[in-house]
Amino acid sequence: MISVLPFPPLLAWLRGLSADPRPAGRDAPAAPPAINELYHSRRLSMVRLAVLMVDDLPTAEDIVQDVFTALYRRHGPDLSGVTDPNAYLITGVTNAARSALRRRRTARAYIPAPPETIRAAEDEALLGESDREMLRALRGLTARQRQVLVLRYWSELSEGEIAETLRVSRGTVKSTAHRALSVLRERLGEQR
Amino acid sequence: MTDEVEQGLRGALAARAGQITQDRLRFGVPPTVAVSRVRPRWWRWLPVPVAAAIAAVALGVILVPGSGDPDPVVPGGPAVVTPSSGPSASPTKSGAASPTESGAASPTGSGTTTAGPSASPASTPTGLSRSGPAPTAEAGTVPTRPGAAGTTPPTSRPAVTPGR
Repeated sequence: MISVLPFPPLLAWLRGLSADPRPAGRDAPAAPPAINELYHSRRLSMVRLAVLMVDDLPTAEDIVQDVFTALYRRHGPDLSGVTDPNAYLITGVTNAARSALRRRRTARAYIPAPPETIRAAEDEALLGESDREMLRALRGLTARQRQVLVLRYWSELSEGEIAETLRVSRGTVKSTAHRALSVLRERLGEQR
Repeated sequence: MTDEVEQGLRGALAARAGQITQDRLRFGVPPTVAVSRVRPRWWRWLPVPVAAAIAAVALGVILVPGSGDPDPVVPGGPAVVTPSSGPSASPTKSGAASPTESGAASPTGSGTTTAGPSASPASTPTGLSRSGPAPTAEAGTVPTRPGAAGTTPPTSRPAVTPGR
């Protein structure tokens, strides 16, 4: 036998063929995929981010689910090749929310929107008057302005991170935020 | 003023986000489960048509008889054609196909083959030499006197025309 297989690497290769690739064995429970761990840990915060952008919980949940599904299909359950999954999720949710707002605006060009969006009673009860005014003014901004303000004042991202997420220049982020705050100031001043 | 707006904005966003709790979310299915149910695994069925195609090709190769073998060459091919000119073709009469008796054979061949009723004697020799098995159709008239054909002189064309 030794004369037949004289090379140790060949023997190791043959042992590797017969060995079970999983050292823990078949009966041991496999570790959950990284995508599932990321889903359970980051789903709520991503839904919150989407809600702040589209102001609609069912749409926000659909957006987040689509982003996770796209992440899984593109990078697999182990998220191979993704250096920063959180940044990937924020970028995906932001882009999907912007697309949803664009579709909604196009639909409302043909279908008249309801005069006032009916919100859940618990939502109204938990918000103060100033918060409601602020959110009402925030809804009047453009999608880009709203994204910049949400990423800046809720996600606490820097201007550079926002620029990288939105794939715009840093100066664009700065000017957009300045312009959005000016609009908010004007509308809140008018209301007050 | 700016700080007041920014603080109000932060507070409003935090309050709105705080309304979204885990209880309000729909049942979340991880993408690994959701996608695996939806994704069609057509490639698992790919070996079936491939195996069927391979089996069909193998059966075709096996069952088609002699598809790759060349047709066997019959040694006596010309000898088979010669008897068609008449049932009286015997080895002795095939020897009569000598130049001397070619004229004798010509009436049988010429009359049977191409010339038809108006076949002239001048055209008969060529018609005989080029005629193949086709004359056998009318050779039924010729064999009536094939033996005489061997004895008939080359100039005797009535041997053909009376048969008509």
